[in-house]
Amino acid sequence: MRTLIVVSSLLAIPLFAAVSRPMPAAPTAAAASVRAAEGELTLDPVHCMALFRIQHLEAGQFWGRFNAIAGTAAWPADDSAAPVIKATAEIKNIDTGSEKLDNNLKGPNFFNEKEFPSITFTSTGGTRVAERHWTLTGDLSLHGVTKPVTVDCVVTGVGKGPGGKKVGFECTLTILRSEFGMTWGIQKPPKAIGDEVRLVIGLEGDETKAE
Amino acid sequence: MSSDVVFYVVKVLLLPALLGLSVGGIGVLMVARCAEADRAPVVRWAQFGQTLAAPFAFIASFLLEAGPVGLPPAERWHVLPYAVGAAAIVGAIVSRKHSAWWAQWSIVAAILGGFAWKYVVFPASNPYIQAGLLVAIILVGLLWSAVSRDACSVGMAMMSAIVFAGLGVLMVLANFASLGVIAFAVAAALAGVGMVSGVLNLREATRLRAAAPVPEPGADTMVKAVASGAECPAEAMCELVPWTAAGVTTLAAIACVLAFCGHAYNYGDVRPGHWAVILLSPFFALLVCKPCLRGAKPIVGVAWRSGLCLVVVLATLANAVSQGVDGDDTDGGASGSDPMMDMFEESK
Repeated sequence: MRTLIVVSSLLAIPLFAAVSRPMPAAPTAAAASVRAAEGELTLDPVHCMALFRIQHLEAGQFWGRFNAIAGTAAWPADDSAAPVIKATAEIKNIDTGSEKLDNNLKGPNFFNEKEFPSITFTSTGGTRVAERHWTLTGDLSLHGVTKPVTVDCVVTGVGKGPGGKKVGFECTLTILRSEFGMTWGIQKPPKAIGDEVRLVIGLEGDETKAE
Repeated sequence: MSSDVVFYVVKVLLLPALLGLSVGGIGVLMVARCAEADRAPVVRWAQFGQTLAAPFAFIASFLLEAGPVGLPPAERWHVLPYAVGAAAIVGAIVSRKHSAWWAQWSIVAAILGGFAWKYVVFPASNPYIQAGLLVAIILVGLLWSAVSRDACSVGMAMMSAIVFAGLGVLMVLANFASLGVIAFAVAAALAGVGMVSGVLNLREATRLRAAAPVPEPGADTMVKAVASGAECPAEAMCELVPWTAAGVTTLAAIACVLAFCGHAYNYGDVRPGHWAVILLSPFFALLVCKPCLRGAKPIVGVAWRSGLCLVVVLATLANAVSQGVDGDDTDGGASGSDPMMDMFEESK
C-alpha cells in the first residue's frame, strides 16, 4: 500500500460584524479594518476545517485536512466590508486517515510540529468580487515563515443556531510550499510530492455574546 | 528506477560518501605507498583525514539534502552541520597530538560534550536532556575509544558504519527521512574507509610476512604476530593507520548528537533505548569478542566484531519495527508507509 505525503497550510476565515459605518461603493483594503465590536464571530472548531490537496508522485491528487480550526472573524451583515479573519490551525490536528502519514507530516521533513506547532492566517484587507464574495489579502504563517497571500472568500450563509447567529465562509487559496521552506520531496527526493498546495477552508462562526 | 531517483541517490548519498572516502582513504593509501622509514608523519596526516572522513560526508550530504543553512539556523536540527563541523575541527586537531589515548578522549569528549551541552539544543529539551547529551558523549566516546584499542582500524570503521546505518534506519522509522539519508551517507563513507584500510592492511601484512625472517623464540612479538597472520592490534605493524582516540571520540560524539536529534524529532515508535543500544553496539561486540578472538586472523576478528555489532543493531531495529507494527492497531486498518521508501518502490 502506498501512501503519500502531504503538505499544507491553513488559512483564515471571515466574519461578521455589526458595522455602523456606511460602506464605500467599492470597498478596499481599508474597509477590512472593520472591527466587530458587536457581533464578532468566534469560529466553531467543530465545524471549521481546512482541506489541502497536493500531488503525489506526479500522479494522483491527495487530500488531507486540518480539523478544529480556531479563531475569530468579523463581517458586516450588509456585506459592506470585507470579512476580517484570524484563524489558527494546530498541526497536531492534521488528519489524512492514516496515523503513520499524519506522523510523517508532523515531522521535521514537513511541518516540523515540534518547532512550528500552528499555522495562522490574519487577514489584512479585501476587495469585493460580487455579493458576499471577496478576495482577501492577509498574512499566512507556516513553518516559521510569514508571507502575504490572497484568499478567495465566499460568505456561504447566515443562519441561526441554539446559541445565536451563525455565519459560514468558504475560502480557497493556492500556495507553493517551497516558499514557506517546506521543500522535502520537491527536488529532494525528486518529484515525490508536489510543490503546489490547494487549500479549501470551511468556516463557521458563532456570534460572540457581549460579556 | 527513474533517472531522477538515481541522480538523487548519487548526489545525496554516494557523492558525500565518496568525499568522505577520499578524505579518509587517500591517507591510508599514501601511507601504504610510503617507505616504512618515512611513514610516521604521513600516518599523522592520514589519521587527520580519517577523523575528517565522517564529518565531511555528513556535512556534504546535509547541504545536498537540506540545502544551505543560515545562522542562526531556521530550524533547530539545522544546527547539525555546525556541530559536526566543530567536532571535525576539534577531533582532527587533537588526533594530530601524540598523546595518550585517555588524554585524547578526555580532551575531545570535554570540548565536544561542552559544546553540545551549550549549543546543540533540540525541541522540547531541558537541562536534564542537555546534561544527558553531555554524559552520552563522554560515556560513548570512552567506550568506543576502549573498543578501538582492541579492534583494528578496519573493524572500528566497519562497526562505526554499522552504527550510523542503524541510526539511519531509526531516523526513517522516526519519520525523519532527511537525517536518515545523511546517516546512510556517513555509514557509506566509513565503510569505504574500512574497506580501503582492509585491503591495504592485508597487502602490508602479506609484504611483511614475506619479508620477515622466521621468528625466533623471544623475537619481537609484533613481527611474530604479523608473520603468523595473527590479529592486528592497534599498534601492529600491519596496521597502517590506526584510529586515534580523538578520531573515535569524534565519531562517537557525532553519533550521540544524531541520536539525540532523532529522538527529539521522533514521530515514530522509536524509543530512547533503541538509540542507546545502537550507540553502544560496538561495545557489546567487544565484550563478546575480546576473550575469544585472541590469536585469530585479522579478517576473522573484523568479521566477528562487525557481525556481532550488526546482530545487535539488527535486533534493535527489529524490535523498533515490531513496536511500530503493534502500534498499527490504532490505525483502524489504515496503513501508511514511509514516503521515501514509497517513492523508491513506485519508481522501479
